[in-house]
Amino acid sequence: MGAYAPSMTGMSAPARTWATPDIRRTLQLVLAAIWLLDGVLQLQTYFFTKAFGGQFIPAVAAGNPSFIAKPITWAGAQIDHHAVLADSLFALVQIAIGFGIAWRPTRKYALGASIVWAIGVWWLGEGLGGVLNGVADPVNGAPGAVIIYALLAVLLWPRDDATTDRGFPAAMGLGASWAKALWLVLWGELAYFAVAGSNSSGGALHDMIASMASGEPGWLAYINRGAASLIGHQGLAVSIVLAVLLGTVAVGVYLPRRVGNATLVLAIALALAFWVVGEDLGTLFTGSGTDVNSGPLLILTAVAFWRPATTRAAALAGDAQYEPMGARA
Amino acid sequence: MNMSGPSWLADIFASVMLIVAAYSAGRLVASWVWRRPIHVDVDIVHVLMGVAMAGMFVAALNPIPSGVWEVVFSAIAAWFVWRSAAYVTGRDARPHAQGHMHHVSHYPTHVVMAFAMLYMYLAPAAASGAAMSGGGGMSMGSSSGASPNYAVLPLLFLFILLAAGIWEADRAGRFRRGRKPVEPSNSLARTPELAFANVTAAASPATEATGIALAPESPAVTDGNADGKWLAPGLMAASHVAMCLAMGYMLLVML
Repeated sequence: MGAYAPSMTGMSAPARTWATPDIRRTLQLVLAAIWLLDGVLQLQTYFFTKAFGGQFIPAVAAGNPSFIAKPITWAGAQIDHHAVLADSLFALVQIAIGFGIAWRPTRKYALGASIVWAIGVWWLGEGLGGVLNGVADPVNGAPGAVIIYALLAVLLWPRDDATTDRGFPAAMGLGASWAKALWLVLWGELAYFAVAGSNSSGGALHDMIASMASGEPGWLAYINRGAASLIGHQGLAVSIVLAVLLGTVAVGVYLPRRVGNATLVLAIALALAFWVVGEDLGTLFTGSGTDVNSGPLLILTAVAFWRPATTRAAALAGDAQYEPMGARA
Repeated sequence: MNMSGPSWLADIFASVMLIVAAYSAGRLVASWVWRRPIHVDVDIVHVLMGVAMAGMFVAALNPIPSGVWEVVFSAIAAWFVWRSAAYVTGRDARPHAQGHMHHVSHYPTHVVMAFAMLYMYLAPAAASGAAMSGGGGMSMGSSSGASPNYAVLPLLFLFILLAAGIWEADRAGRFRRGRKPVEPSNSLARTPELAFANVTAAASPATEATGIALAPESPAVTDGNADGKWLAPGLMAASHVAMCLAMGYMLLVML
């Protein structure tokens, strides 16, 4: 990342510059801000109490295979015994990841650490997002918000060969083929979970959304109750429609640009609906929300797949902030 | 609804805020003594917000009634609204192209900070019938937060402040040592109390293409009396980030 820019006086001495964030770097910064928010959320009183390790964590172990559940139970016990220390550490790690991504010299380390951390939390803190115990529901955050952090870190991984035009921001990290494959897996499993497990019953979606109203502000609870009432016992039909829409989004990145971008708009609309109706904005108003849940992350992912009308390598070359000046001219 | 955080955490945040306030006050003095350019308005605001927030975290640290703080932060909000408007409408005397990125983020952020402070004083009073503590100020341990039905506003403030902290951290790379000074441009050389030094976009085609290169140690910007070196801009940015984080936490516990 070291680079040298001749100064305006013609000196050949090294001079670092700060380049305005492009779309790719901006997405990294949004991800950093979300990590920072998560760290601050972790500082809420609830997480310093024994309820976090003693009740919150063990609850996600329920229904999982024993080789998944036992480590979760163990982790919950450790957090329970050292609640203040553990939560302080969790908060610090997430805040450090946020600022680490934002601070350009450390962004790769921070993104790498975020992947490791996210996988650990996905297992020990979210019970793999309910993927194995049949409670995963895209409306309520499946497959676990935290694993999308890891996915975004991979998709937005800084690359030095920034002049390569790969078509959309997410393709800069792995290449377009792998990025599209990951998109397909992500939204494909959302489509699957929309009709799998408990969602195959008529009243499950209604019950889940209605239960979200507890502890929320009146206006949000009103939305919950209204949506639940609207769905009624037609949950299975709604789930099937959702599955079709999610499946369309999943394959959208393989379609021509205009149609593909239209499916991205659909993806953003769905993610927004999930975030408000099924996730209650990450339950940030309850005092026990650990993160923003999957809605904003899905939106961020969708933006990373947006294909501009004219792909500009320079516009996507967000990882060359310290590249030799003149290389982009 | 969670109304307060752990007291030890409040003590830590209060300590940090007092350090920021003391440091910002020191900057004002040092700037005058050493004739080094600073953002006077920002440092004054950091002093006031640091003291006020310390008093919010620990009521015993707040000797000033809430009403006074409300007036102070109303004035600060008005000041930065005016500065933002002047910048947007082009009436700001400062060069626009060179300072674009700084001013766009700088003024609105402080507008939000000022309104967030106002909110933190006014909302608990509105919600609980002016349940004040200590010297008349609110504090984490005793105040009630906003009614959850009106919690979108502090949530919005929270998002903006954390984003501003991240934005500032991203830009902090421009303060790294090892850079050589850059010649001043005509448009910047005599601009008083300007944003962190800027390298003119026109000076380099590459700079035009990639954004504005910033060089705070550069003599490019002077106030005519100073030696052209901004006073510890990295530490000022760190103070700003700390303030965003602390204010964000305060808003969160008030949700």
